[in-house]
Amino acid sequence: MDRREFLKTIGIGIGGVACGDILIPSIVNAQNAFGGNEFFGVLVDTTRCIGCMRCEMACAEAHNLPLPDISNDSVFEKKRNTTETRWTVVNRYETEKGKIFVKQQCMHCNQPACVAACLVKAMKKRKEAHVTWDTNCIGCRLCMVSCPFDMPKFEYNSPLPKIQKCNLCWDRFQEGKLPACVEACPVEALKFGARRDLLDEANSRIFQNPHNYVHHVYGGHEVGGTSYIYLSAVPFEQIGFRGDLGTTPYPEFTTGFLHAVPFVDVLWPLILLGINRAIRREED
Amino acid sequence: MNRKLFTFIVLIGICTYCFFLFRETGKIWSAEYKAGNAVARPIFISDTDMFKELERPPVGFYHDKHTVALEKEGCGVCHLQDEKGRFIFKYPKLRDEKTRQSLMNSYHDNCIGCHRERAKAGKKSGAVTCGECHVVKKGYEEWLRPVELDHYLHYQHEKALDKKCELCHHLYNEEEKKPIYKKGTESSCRDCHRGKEGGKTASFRKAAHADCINCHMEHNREGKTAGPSNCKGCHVEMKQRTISEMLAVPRPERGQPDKVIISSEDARMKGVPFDHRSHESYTRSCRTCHHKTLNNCKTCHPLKGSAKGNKVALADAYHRASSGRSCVGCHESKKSEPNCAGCHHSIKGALTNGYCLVCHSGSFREDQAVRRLETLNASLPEMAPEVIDIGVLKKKYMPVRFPHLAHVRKLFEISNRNRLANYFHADKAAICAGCHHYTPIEHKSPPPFCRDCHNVSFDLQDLKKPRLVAAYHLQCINCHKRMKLKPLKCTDCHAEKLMDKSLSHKNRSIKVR
Repeated sequence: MDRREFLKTIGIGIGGVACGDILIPSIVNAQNAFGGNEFFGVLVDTTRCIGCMRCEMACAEAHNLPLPDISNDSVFEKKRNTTETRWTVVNRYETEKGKIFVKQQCMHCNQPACVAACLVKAMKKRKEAHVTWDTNCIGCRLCMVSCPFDMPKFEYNSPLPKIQKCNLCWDRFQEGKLPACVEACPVEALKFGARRDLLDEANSRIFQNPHNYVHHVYGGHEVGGTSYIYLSAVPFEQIGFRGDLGTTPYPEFTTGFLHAVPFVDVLWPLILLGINRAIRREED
Repeated sequence: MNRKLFTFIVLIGICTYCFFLFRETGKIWSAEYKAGNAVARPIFISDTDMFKELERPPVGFYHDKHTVALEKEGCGVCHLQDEKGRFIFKYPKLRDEKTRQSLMNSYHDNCIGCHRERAKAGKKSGAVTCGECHVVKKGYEEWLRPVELDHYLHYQHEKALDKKCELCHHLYNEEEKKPIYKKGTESSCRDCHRGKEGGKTASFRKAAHADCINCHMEHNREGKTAGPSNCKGCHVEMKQRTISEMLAVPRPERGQPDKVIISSEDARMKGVPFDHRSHESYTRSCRTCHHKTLNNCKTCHPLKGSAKGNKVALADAYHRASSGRSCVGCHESKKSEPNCAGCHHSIKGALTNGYCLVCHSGSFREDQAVRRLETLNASLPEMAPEVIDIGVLKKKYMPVRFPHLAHVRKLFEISNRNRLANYFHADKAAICAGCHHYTPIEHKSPPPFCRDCHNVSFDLQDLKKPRLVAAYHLQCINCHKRMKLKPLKCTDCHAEKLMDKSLSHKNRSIKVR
């Protein structure tokens, strides 16, 4: 092998590695990354919620969405989902412990699947916990497919459709305000705070009232932990939560494979080239 | 040849199918599947102590069916009689319990033998093959309710037997090997009869069945009114009284004290004055508290505990909050009743500082029997306002007019009605503390405002303490919910503010982004 051939081979190698790096997906780091800062979060105590829907109203007001009609209870008759213009909904469940109201919105996972899935990095996990979306969304809807809670919603009626969902009031947060729903809640069924403190508070409520709660904090470990965490008096499956999600963060299911792609792309040609070289030199 | 074989296999298939089909349909039409027929339910014979693992499904035995069918022949067909003619209710008559095999044989010989004989004699008879008795019964659940000899049932027996306690209560004389009676030693049957089946002392089940049924049958024969002598009579049809239905029942007399000061010689705390008589009317039977013997607690539970009392020390026996037999445990359970839960759900802990002396006073005081709270007007702090206007949300709603005095009156009334509450709420501050928590209530000095502790804005540092709006809502809503009052709508408290129509939520046009 002469000098020129050697440099050529090395060059291909370096180029390949450089390309490979671009292909590695943005990996969202786990808890307590980002210089030791805490994630913020919201604790939802479903035993306190009275179903007044003030959170829905406050959410709509804060984000300029169409205002919901909260004057009567008839909306509770069937289960509602969040939509692109209703980022949070309260549903009513009939259980053996009576009527239970559950607020639903984006869970703001610690390691969100939607962020890992986003091709253009429009979906971002902020270091303070908020999972937000930018205007550069191309409408591919991969986040919708990836989300275990089915939260990102698509503006099907818009000529320039984008994804919409709860952003934990990122704008208000930067102004130093609470999320609109937390501020509006009259019974403090919603508590905003550092996620770790909220987990402590949730566990201490269970400890102090062992008969009033199921002994589980939903979102504490589900899909690697979420920023919205829930307390309930009945098993979470009965109030519309999925119990089959496991504790593995969703991006982890794909990182192994996606990490292997650049290596295969880069190393495989190199190996072939090497073998080729070796064989040819023998022939010479 | 091939064709013959094929037909044969098909035939066998059809036969098996028919067999299972008819077996299932047969079951559906048999008596036990007729809904609502409580008699047609089996008692399961499995004797797991002896048989351990069963080779075949346990036999479901229809006792009441046999009683009816053998009415003429009498119980003697299956059960032994002693020299006095009393039945010994064990089956089979001569039960050979030496080995597994011998016990099985004695069951089989007796059941099948009798069925065969009757069939030969042309009478109505029962099963003789294995599969007829050893059938898997699906959906079996306990249908025989345990019978509790409560104050009411005990009094019924007392009345019917002219207070002849010796007819049921007895001791056992080891030397003469016979039961004797001694006045004043009456106790629960379970004191002695609590051994296993087949032990030296008859098990409770055996003793109760032998004594109850024999006595009932004797009375029936003599033409007196008597209790039932079949299974369902006691275990299904008999209705047990609730505590409130038993209030008029006279107490069982056994020389128990009316009032007693509970104390122990080497205890450091003062004794507790205890009204035994009134507590008798709050319980179903003596066994509610005297769970093993009718002796006083310290016999088995001395100050430091003993092996006899399962190492439970005296203080623990009285104060364990999780036990239904202890003083504290029983009183705690009363706190979850709707009238009490309103305030008590938020007051944590069974025993709080300074409350020891409420019980450990050392002597009965004149006013202690009923420490009725002073009349309302005299006891209220003078500035207790009649109505309080709460205007935290006055931007959106009219101020809430909270009828303070009406709430106080209601709580005082509830407390005065209940003797237990009456005793422990001796100080009126105890009632005010339901809402005015952590703050002192005194005459002539108003308690601090809610807003003095509960911030108006959300405090990220203190997650325990709700902010002002939430504090009000949680206090009111939780109390109303626990007291099982009718649910309140927002507008029941917050009157709608008459605002500029264009600003009210309903009439605001939907904004489109």
